Amino acid sequence: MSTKVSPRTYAEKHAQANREAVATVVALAVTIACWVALGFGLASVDVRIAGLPLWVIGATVGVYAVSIVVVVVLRRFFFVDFDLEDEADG
Amino acid sequence: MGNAAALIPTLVFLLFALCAAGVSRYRAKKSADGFAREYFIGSRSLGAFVLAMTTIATYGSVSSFVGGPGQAWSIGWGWVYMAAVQVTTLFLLYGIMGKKMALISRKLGSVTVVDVIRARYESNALAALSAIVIVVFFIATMVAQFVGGAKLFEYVTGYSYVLGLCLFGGVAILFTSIGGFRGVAITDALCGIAMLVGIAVLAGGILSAGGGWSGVMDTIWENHPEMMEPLSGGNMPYGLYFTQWLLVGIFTFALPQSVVRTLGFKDTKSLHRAMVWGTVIMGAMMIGVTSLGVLSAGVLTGDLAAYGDSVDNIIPQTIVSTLPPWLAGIAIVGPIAASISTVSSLLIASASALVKDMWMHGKEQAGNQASDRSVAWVSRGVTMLVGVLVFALSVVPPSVIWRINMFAFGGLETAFCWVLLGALFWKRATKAGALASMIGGTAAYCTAMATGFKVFGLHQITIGLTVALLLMVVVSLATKRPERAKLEPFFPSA
Repeated sequence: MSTKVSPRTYAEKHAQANREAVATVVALAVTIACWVALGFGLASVDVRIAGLPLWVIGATVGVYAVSIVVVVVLRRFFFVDFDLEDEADG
Repeated sequence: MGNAAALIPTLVFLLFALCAAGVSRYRAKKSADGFAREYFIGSRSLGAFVLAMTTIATYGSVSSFVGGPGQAWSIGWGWVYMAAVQVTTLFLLYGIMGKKMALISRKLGSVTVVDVIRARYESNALAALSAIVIVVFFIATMVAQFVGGAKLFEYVTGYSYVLGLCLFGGVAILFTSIGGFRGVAITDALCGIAMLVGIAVLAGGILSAGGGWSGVMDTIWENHPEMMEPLSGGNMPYGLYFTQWLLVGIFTFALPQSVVRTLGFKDTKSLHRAMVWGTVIMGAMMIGVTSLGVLSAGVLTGDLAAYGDSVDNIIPQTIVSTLPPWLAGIAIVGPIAASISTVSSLLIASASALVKDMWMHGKEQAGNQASDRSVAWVSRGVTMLVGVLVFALSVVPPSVIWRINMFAFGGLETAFCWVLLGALFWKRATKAGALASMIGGTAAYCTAMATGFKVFGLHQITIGLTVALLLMVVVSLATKRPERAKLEPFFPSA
């Protein structure tokens, strides 16, 4: 898990941005896995909610909820705030 | 003769958008450090809300509002399941490109995506090629957006196609030329709101006309039970899910019209907030609007022939048959806003490619910097001119434009994906690799699209991306490693 220390030099900022890019790709993988599980995974379950088969709820509301959790986790635990302008950097 | 009540909401909205663009321009005049930087990137001042909305509105096009839901009407919830992959688009763009582009563009003073590509690969040929790819694909896309919007306008209000085009096309061209990137971003935010309102109004119309939620569901179960299955009785194969993930999900982060937004935001806080709120809005919008298509099957129960044999008529027909004229007028502001917000962003990006990447760069090469005053005139003039060209093409669109438009989305992804990823994340990517990737990938994609050639029956985007990736890697490795010192802004040594 990221230590959340704000990077100072230009090189540190790039290193942080690279870590965030990797975290983003992992987030994508997680989203895809949930997307498969909530849609195709529920396709054979014979339950209806409000006239809809369960997989439809998973594929729409479920995937939507997952994506929101994913971005909140990304922001909270992996993305770090720093100054984008070039400050005193050797 | 048309219905005036259906016209009023569009007029009000357009007037409002025009004023907003004008005001934003007027207020921005005070911060005058370099016209190009202000006009093409809004002096990197976008806050979270405007950043999120401009990205969404640029991406959310008239096809998201008309073509996509039309497909959902015929295929069912499978199409919505597929559309849900778009929840990833914002965090991929901001998470992968956002901070890298922000840091590099500030370091180098870049105003356009092409500036960044030129600096990374030290290639004017690649920059010129990028600019040409952008302008050609963008013009075709803009025409398609205008045509889609104007057809819908005609269908719903009863006024002529050309009148619709003049109204919102004229306004879009005007506020883009006047407002520049900042005006486009502000009006995009308004458009995004209008899109959400349009969805809500139409949802109300469908539900009340279809006998409420359970009435609509019963009708669909009775007429088309296959619409309740993910594979839609074979109409929605796994392969299509896979390629749509690539086309409208994962690789949208490489679309230059999206990437340019990562040059324009203010600070990392804005980016983080835009990522969260943007995903909330994007998901609601894309899943919501596509679901409307399915629900309309509870109201429009004929077969496709009854609706002019085109799924593009489904949403307009649903609007007309479920809403009274004044509400129909409000509902069409959504898709019209989707159309003009996409056009305005593509227009300003096309103008930046022509003015900044070609004209201004050419002058610098020749050793005479263009004065700020002439940059101002040329920028506005070129924006206006491209707009007028697109407008003229939209009146009677030539068939070649349709072909190019069909290639545009995947073509842009193929052309820019590996070139941008290589620029930001792979030190070993070389100029020759980038050129080969852009030329070879785009050519392979367009050829495969034009001839209908497929591998394993999959959409041609798989061919474009694979060829472009192979060329990038193989050619880069076969050519000389880029000089360490030149890469410093992209890969700083600690």
